[in-house]
Amino acid sequence: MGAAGLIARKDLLLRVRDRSAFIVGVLAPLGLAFIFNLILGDIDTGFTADFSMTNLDANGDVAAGFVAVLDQIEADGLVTIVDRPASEDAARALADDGTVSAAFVIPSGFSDAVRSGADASILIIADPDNPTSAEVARSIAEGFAAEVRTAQVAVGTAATLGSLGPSEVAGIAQRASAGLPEAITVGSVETASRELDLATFFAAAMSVFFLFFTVSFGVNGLLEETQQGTIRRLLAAPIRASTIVTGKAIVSFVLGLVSMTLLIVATSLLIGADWGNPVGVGILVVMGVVAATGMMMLVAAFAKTPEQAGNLQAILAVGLGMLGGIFFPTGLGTGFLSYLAYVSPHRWFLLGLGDLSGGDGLSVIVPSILGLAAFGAVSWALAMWQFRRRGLAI
Amino acid sequence: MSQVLDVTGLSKRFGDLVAVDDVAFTIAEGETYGLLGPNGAGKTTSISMIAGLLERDAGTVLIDGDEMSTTSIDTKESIGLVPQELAIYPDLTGKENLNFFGRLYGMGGSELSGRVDEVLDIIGLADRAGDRAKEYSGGMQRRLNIGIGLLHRPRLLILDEPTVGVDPQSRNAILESVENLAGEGMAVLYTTHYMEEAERLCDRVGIIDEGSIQAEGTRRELTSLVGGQDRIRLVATGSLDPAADAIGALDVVQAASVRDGGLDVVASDGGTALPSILEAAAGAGAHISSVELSEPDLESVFLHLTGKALRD
Repeated sequence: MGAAGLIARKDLLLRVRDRSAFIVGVLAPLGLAFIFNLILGDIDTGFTADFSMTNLDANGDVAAGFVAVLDQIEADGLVTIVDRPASEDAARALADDGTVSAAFVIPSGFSDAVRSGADASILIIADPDNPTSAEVARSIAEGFAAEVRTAQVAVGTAATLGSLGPSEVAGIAQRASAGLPEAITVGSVETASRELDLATFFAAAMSVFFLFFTVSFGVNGLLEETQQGTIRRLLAAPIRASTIVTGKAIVSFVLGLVSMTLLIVATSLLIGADWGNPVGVGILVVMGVVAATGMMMLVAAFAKTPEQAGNLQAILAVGLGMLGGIFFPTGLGTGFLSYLAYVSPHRWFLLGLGDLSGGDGLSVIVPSILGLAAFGAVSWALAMWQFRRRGLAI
Repeated sequence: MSQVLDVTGLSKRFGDLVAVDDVAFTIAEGETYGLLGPNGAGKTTSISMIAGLLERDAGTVLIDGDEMSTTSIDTKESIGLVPQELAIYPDLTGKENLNFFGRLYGMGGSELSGRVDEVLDIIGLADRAGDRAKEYSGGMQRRLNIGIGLLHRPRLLILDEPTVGVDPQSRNAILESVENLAGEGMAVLYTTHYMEEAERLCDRVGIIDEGSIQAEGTRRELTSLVGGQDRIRLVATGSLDPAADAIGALDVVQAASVRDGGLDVVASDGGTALPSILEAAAGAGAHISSVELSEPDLESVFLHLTGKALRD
């Protein structure tokens, strides 16, 4: 065993002795998986939203089109129309008492207003305690409105929107449901798209988020050696200073791999997370650990004490995690944030898993692998440069 | 005896501060060399450069003829370092600490286990070898700190103030251990600000102050620098600074300084000079409660060379 391995073995032994390895590498990941299970345990039953439908434009052809679209979405199993109250007040009462998470109300004269080009709107009365379902309702209505506008432009003012056929209704329903928020649609399209299902997404997101804290235990050992004076003894030994740093990185790597492996196994068993091709997942995990180790090493290189490093690492891990979309999907859309998300290794990791879920082979994760490798290489190089500046000849 | 350490022109600056200035000395096989000086004199900076922990601005450090620098991997094998601060792993046992550092120096197998047992005997921790270091007393931890340094039988053992903060009993045990090392043919570089330790352990002493070596030699050679001068310790109260000035102005007095509630005086003939010294002290407003007259020692030499006491 080389000197780096010797240092790593000693550090791992110390981590076992002070139980931090057990807490960080085993207990915390399993605890996290258990929490996932509590939160997401019923996720495989699929998402459904309970709505009501009130059509006060009973003879209107456009209104009938919307009802048909909603019925089609219900038939797809995404929503449930639990009631069809006859008045707006009755619909409001259902939303107020939580019987439905949102109530659609098509006002009288809606179809005529649409045909004449006047302002026309579908009223959505949302249950404030169920914002996700309310958002789903809003998306369905907006999707329908967009389709109606498209149809108007396509056929000109002489067209009659009341003549929508079954295939057109199905098409509009499909497109309207495609406008649902990311977190909702993934449950129904998992086999055909490059999106992770909800359980896998949260399992992966939380795992990579937690990974950054796990690996910090290894690299911060360098600051602990400095604090307890043993770094002078190590530097006086016949080994390169870079060997000491490598030893610490090995500790991070081992802790990171153990933690991720436990989380993958546990979330697969407990909440049915489908991580995808094991080889691809393995490569992404290894590269994710490399990136996380490099970045935490970089922070350790600039920090003066283990405590300071821990604080800075927590800030970085949370910041990059948020940017990378582990709490909300920053990578969606085309806005500035969607591009900014790529400065986060979390984003590359999740992107890789998403690409892998499409089932197109390992080649699709090459960009993610390169992205993660770049994070690891650049941060490692910067860390070494800073260590040299601090007088740790490497 | 062959020369193990050869230091010439060693210098180091930190900004405007000259920490080490043109330090030079040698240590032969089996010799114990003391660097004696107060805190901040440049001892630790000097040994940091000698041990390859710190880049030097100028000078050379040769260990058995091989150049030492921060990247001299092979040369570092010849050195055993005992840092001033404890450098042990509290959550490892004494034996595990020794095994880890032994392997780091390329030892293994029966050679390592045999040497670990030997060192545990030398430092008196054989019966506590399986206990974690954090359960040791301060003195035992200090001894383990030393044991790690000498484990791989270095050609040069560097001990940086190894008895700081140690109780008298443990201190004595440490000094006995160090005395035995030179007997094994090891060259020892020992830094201290305790004059008694330097006198007891060291074959030769370099007196260092403000980064440079003021004088160097055996105890006899160094005390001869002070001539026939005696050291007089006056325990006194009252106006001590004016008293030191008044005593220092006497022809028979070479140096006088205030230290620890009294006065340290170096005089050419202490017995004869004592009445006039007491008279000058009283005249300046000092109230003498006791007088101690002693032959020249390294403390006197330091006082003579620098005009101040070692513990200043």
